[in-house]
Amino acid sequence: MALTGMDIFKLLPKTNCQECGVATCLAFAMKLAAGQAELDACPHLSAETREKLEEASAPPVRQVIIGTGEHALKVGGETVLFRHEKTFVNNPGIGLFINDAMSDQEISQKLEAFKKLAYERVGLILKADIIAVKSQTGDAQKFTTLIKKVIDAGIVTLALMAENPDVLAAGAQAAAAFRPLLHAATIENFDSVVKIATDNKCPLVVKGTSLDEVAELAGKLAALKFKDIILDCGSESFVKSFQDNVIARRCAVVQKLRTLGYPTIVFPCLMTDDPLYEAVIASAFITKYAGIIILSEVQGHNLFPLALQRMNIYTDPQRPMATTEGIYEVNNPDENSPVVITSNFSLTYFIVSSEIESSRVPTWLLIKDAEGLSVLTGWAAGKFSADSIAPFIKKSSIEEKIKHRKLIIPGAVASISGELDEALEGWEIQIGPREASALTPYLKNWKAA
Amino acid sequence: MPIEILKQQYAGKVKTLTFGSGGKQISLGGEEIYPFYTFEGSMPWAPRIAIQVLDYNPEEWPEALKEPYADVLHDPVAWAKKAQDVYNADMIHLWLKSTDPNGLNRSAQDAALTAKAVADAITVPLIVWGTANSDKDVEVLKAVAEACHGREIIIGPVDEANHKQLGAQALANNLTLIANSPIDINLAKQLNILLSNLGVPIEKIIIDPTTGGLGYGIEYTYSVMERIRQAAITQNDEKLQCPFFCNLAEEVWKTKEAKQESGELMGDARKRGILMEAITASTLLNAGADIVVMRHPDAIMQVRRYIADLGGFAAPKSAELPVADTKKVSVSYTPGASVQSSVATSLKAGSLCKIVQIMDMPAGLAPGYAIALIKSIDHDEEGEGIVLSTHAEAEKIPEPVKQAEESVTSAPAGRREKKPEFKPAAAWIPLQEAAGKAQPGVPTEKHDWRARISDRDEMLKQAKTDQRYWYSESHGSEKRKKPA
Repeated sequence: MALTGMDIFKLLPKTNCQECGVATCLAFAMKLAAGQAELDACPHLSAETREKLEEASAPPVRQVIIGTGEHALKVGGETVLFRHEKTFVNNPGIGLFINDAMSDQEISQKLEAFKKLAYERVGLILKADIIAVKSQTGDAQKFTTLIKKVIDAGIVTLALMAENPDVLAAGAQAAAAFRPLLHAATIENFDSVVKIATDNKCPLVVKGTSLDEVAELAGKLAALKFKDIILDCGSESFVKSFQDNVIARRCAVVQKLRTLGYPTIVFPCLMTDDPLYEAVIASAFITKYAGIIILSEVQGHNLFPLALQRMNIYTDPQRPMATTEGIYEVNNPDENSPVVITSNFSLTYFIVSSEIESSRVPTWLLIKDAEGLSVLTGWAAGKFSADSIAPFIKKSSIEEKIKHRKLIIPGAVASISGELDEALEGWEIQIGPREASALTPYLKNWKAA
Repeated sequence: MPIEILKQQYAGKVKTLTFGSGGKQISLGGEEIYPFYTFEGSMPWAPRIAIQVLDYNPEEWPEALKEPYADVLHDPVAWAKKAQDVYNADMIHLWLKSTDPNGLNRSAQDAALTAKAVADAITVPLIVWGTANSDKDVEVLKAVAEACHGREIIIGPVDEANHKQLGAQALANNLTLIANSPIDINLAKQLNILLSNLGVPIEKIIIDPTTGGLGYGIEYTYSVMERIRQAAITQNDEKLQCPFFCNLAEEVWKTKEAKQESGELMGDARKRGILMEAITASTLLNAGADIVVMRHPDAIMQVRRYIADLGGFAAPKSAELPVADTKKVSVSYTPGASVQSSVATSLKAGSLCKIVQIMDMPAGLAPGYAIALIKSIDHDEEGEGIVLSTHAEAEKIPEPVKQAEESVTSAPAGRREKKPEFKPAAAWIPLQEAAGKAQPGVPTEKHDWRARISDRDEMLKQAKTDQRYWYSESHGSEKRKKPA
């Protein structure tokens, strides 16, 4: 694991051909080690070297892709225990559970909700990712009919679950074009289910009654050069499953234990009958390491908070989230409404916009690109300074929308008001409060003239 | 072949804080493991839920949140009593929001009267919270501390600007302080050092890392808490071995998403608010929170269950409960508590029900309450709700049992005889055992910074140069690798 640049350099052709776009092989090796370049960029690697390097540079929790093309769900790929050490890489997939014993109406409603619910936030789309289809009846015909129904509804990221290998095989064939995740290979059915997964080129869940058993099965499968593995510790107990996830991640990341170095799948839908509690259980698995989380229902009131939590926890702490630069209309402003400016750090944006919204004062909110930095940091870095704000105001077309020429700047950068006053001809610069929480009284007392 | 599990090496332990005396004692902190990693160590006390009470009528709250408190929102004393008696608050968090100079700007004297009245009305520990206006808070919390002299209250937020004044109050009135720093491990540590320098024992400090709401920066709080706890228990940094306080309720309920009406995309408004609050709490609990400040009773119930399940503060199984029969029994629905279904809402205190099954007995609920599947006899409906299951509390049922001889015989009097059979949840046992043993409010061991430091210069040096943290080589809010 974690080869240094020099280790990698030794395996490269050392011809400095520059075909990878980097000046020397050594520089390319350094970039590889830092994760800034892809191995594929070098056209001269032997298959053997490539495998060696891939193996060595693979993350401790292997990345597994379920589905195909734009609908593919990427899970795993994790390298740390705590997000402050580096970052959590791939969002855990949020899944919806259905089975072939449910009524047509229930299925339709669930699929409808699954497709419809999506939330846009800081340029990301938050939504559920995968449908787990289970053969409850054990009838292959019913199973494949249901799978086809789901595919016909336009949902092609699937996990197929069946106890009987024959039924699972029928399902896998029905969805073969979409690379569904198959659930599950166990001690009893290992050979037959592995064959189904291999034949259909599908990722496969190994399921055991304990971590030991799961690790053993995963090891056995890996020995067959099978790589797309998901772990299911088989527990319907919340606390047991939580602990298994913690231990598996620790074994993979700290001990470099390959046999547990795969994403996990958990089923909060089997852990409680209370749909609200199910969401709370799911939230524990978002913070602690699950790869795929299957719920019994997906509705606005449970999906939205969970997707939000997932986005927060999986935000890269090295890169602040940013909002798009521009003019935001809050509470239907008109030509006499106040104009407030702040930076595009998403947290700043959310707090300021939500404060203005709750003040009910119609306001123009200008978001200035400060490369995702907060107001003070942005100012210190020269990204939220008078000479960059002035041209932004001029080209933003805000002048066409308002009659007055008054700009409210954050109190934290009161010191730029003089400079800005000079740079922005015809505008009066007003100093707003330091904290967003004081915006409501400020805006309520604000007058255009 | 069994896999070999690497145990995390822990080197330190969070201080245990104990409040109250006699049977009303409550402890928190004490963790020597990462949150809920009970397979490798001990987490002796369940994290506590403090129910928030405001000192004015919060008209701005969404309907779903006002509803359970509708009868008490105008009266902080009644509100606190309801939170304690009906919703079983572990602690009360009294937020003196009306003293905000940018708001109602009520006087410190008014605030002190309110705080005193609330303190006198409740038996659980009281947290009195200011408005994060450093100067006003000094005035208000000083008045509160003097008015409540003799009661060990907890006050906050204490920040760098007012730590001297409030630290002095803490020493004079035997208070516990909640030290607030802006999402930064080094600033949290620095504030603790400053307070220690004043003579405030580390056992009298709770860390408020500043809480960001779900979708509004919770990830910053989450990571800084993880990092602080890591320093406390794996690096044995004594200056950070304090329990965490997370003031999350306001952060959740002030967001537009928690206030939004029901709709196709955002789902049911009430359930959404409850889940936003519960998931914010569960996230922070997983980062190490010891006190979570909450509001909605249903969110609180979810979180209690979460803590009981994950922390192994296990509830007794249904078989151990004396009421787990399917005979007709008198069941009292506690108004406004868990409302899982229509039946629970339609039931009145003292309604006649059949308990179909005891589903859960969360440790956090008072003995005598359980979550059960109940069938209403009056309404012929079925549903889940909190029921008053047994003994003492039954006397408090405001309405008499209505009918049926059969139920009368098995009603409170009959079942009270079975009281000795009642097995309290595991979480209750340490509390009872602790009575008499723990020393309320007195540090159990001498903190050792004084031993090492002889004069003020050295103290300042310690404050400035003591170990500092950064997240990793490449990034993080803290890149200061050199001493300040």
